[in-house]
Amino acid sequence: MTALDIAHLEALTKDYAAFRARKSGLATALGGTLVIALFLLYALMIFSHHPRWPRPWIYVLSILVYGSPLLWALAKPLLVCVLYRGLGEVKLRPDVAQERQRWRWIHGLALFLLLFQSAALLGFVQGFLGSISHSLSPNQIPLDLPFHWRSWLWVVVMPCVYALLAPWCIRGAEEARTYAVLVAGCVLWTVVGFSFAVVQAPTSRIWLGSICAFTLVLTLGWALRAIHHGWREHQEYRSMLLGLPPVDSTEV
Amino acid sequence: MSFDPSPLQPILTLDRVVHEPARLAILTILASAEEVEFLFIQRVTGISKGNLSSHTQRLEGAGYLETLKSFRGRIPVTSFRITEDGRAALLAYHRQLRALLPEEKSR
Repeated sequence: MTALDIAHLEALTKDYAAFRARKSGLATALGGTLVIALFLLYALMIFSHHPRWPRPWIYVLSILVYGSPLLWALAKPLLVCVLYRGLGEVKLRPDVAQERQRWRWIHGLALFLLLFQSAALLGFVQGFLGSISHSLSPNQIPLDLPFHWRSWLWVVVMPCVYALLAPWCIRGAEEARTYAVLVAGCVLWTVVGFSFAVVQAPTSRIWLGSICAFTLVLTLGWALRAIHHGWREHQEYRSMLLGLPPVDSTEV
Repeated sequence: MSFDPSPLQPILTLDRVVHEPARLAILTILASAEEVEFLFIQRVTGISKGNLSSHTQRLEGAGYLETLKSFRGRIPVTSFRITEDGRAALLAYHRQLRALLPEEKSR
């Protein structure tokens, strides 16, 4: 056994343990893919005049959009278990710095969700009051308000659910990023839809439109990054497996 | 003419439990993680089940590792954890071996 072999063994064990503890490969890529799929689905819904869609479809889509981070949180351990358990369990040595970083991400995410939630609530109140003060006729509001009440209740409540879920489902920085993108990506289109539905003034539309466009580009960029990162992790795992020696069948 | 065995003394004092390549590999793996499953050591080292069992028993006998038995569903799972003595022995072995090897001279 050479020094190189020893270093290789050490690195392999640490990499695998890190993979088990913090990485999720294709599960991360799935998060990014879900964001893009929902992005397209919701865009289709908004731009194809969604009040004309049958009501059950809208409910199903809303549940799908808001439930996708929960779906991801459930699917992730299953995927990790099926795809990345081939070499058995290896527990990483406790690393205080890593754990601190993980909690920093979780706190950051909770803060982000809190701010997002507050902004959503503010936007809702402002939009609702605006629509009343301008006394818009029903055909000026493309989406009916009772639906919005329920829809915005989702917006307000769901980030709390996501924030509560965060400490249980997030293991590392990359997962926290993916989760944040997924949550933001899912809630974002509702904000866009509602903003465009109630804001009638052209200047506000331009202002809102540019903010939304920027946020959407950012979300899509992050989603693509999550897909790329997850795929790279998956490839790393594959090459780790390919580099293993064949098991010796001769007993001494 | 008499043979002077003193230069060989450090080599002879090497810890033989650690010196064996398979056991050195096992200890190296265990030192890099908190707890390692039997399957991982077997797959990474390529050692057969029987040989791995006998080596881990030898290391456990020397007090260098502890065996942990558990169940995953109905399947029994064996894992290992390096002890403080094991870690100290591995470090001492590395130090001893480094001292024995000639220093690489630049050309």
